Amino acid sequence: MDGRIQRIYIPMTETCFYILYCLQEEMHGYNIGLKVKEMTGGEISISPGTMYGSLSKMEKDGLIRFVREEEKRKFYIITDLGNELLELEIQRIARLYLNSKGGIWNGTENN
Amino acid sequence: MGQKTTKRLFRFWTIADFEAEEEFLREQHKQGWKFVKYTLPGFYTFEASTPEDVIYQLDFTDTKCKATPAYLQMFADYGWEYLLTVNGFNYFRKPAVAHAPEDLTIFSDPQSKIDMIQKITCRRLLPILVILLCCIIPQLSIQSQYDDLASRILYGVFIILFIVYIVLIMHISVTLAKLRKKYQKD
Repeated sequence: MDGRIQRIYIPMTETCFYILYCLQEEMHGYNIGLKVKEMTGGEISISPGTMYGSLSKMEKDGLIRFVREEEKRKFYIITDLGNELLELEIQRIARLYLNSKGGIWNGTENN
Repeated sequence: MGQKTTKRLFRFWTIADFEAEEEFLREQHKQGWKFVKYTLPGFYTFEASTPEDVIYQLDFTDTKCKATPAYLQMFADYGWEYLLTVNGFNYFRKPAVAHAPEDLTIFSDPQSKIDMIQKITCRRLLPILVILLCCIIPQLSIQSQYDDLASRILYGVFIILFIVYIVLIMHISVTLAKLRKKYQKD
């Protein structure tokens, strides 16, 4: 993986994390916004300007790719690179969480 | 009956004053004047309507063609009414009632606001600086070498332009820097 991309995206902003997480399934911007609101109990909302800018940036960096357009809505899905970054970030959060409970990290979640 | 149904106002804003402009449009709508048209350098047209608290938001996309149907559809899905595009700024509005505060902004994280400020700096402020350095300043030195009337008039014109540019550039730089600081703190 490109070191530059990793430096930009890890640690990940919440906006970026939730978009990548949602795009494990094919979705369009507004639907991602709704799903994020629902899964976070309304704590995180991603506004349209932020959503549009983030999707464009992530597409340009190759984390997600455009799949199709339906009724003027663009659908995206995560790429291999995006999956790799998402996995790295999930491991990082797992380590943080484990450490916050006083645990010792052995390099994987299942220790 | 017999009441004015439209009004015109003049306000001059620079490319850095979009937040003041949003507030201005909201105030007008609260007083029953709905924004309909804006022509550079600052002519606003309003239409009489019911006083209402309506949030106005500006997004900078540099050119109008970047406000694609997919882009506008996303804002529409979120309940933002697209009004018009002037000088690369797209104007949106949404009634404040019945919406949570987090749904009344088009930018939910400070980084996307900083990205927009960055875009304005690159696409608008830098070109103005280039015109100052490559056109106005050289013209000043060229026109000052001649003594005929036309050159003196041109010299005067370029002096005025020079002062206007310096004032504008200072104002824009300071305002954008303040905005950047404000959002970096968030």
